[in-house]
Amino acid sequence: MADPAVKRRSALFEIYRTGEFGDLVKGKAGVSICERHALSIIQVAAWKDQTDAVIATIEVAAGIKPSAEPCSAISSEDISAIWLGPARWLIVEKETRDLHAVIGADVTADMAAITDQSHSRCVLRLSGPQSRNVLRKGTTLDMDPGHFAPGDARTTSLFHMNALIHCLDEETFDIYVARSFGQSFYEVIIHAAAEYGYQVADRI
Amino acid sequence: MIRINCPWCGERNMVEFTYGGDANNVYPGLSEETSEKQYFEYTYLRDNPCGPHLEYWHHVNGCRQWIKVKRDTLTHEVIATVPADKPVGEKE
Ligand SMILES: [Zn+2]
Repeated sequence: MADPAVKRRSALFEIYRTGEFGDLVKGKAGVSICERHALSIIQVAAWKDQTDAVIATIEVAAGIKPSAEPCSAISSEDISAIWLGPARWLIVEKETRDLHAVIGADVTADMAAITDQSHSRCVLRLSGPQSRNVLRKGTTLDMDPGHFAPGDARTTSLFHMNALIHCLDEETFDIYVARSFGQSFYEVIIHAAAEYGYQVADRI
Repeated sequence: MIRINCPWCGERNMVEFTYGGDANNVYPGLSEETSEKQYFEYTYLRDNPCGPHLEYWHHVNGCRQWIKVKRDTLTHEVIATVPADKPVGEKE
């Protein structure tokens, strides 16, 4: 968020259309889709032997304590810290402040590399009883609720795109892909969801 | 389909990984003592074993870490996986 006067434009601005579509069963959508926009998305990668210090400092700076546990996500109401790899996290919240500067004020350059990715992701939230089935069509991950549970976050190949999938509750997922894949991603998701009937809701 | 047990992410399908070459191949270094013959062998010569083989894989669609995989080239059985900077058992 270099200049707050510059409004972020969604990667889906040309194709995002709210409403109900597909094969609605008795008028009900099996999947609800909405874009998460605009978000502050900050990647923090701790240098060697700085992991514990960075975890503690992010907690002080941003109010969320990342976990070193692989494939985990720690969330409070406003902010999430998602594990990406060893000593590497994505800190995400709705864009209300300069999160890059907030984290960078305390997490110094000799502790971690901090990269603003807010401009470079397209994020969809999938919810509803058929959301797992939509994802099953595009990934080799075990999507069984016992194996992919709330608080889990896994990076994988989804419809041949590199994607981060964050499970928020039993049937709600936030999915992050690179912005340049945004339109393809949106289209493949709505095609996969069509047989269940889907609703596209306002951005959140 | 091969499944590889990433030391961080757990068992994942091989589509999430890319192959990174023979992990037995040791870089000869840039010192003046390194001969042309050593470079030739490093660059071009590989064993072609039928059985357990040590190889690098990159979990590129996952945690992005390089790992070492001991894999049977005949049966595709994945025998062991470790972070790339760790040895695979005492035999290596
Ligand atoms: Zn991994």
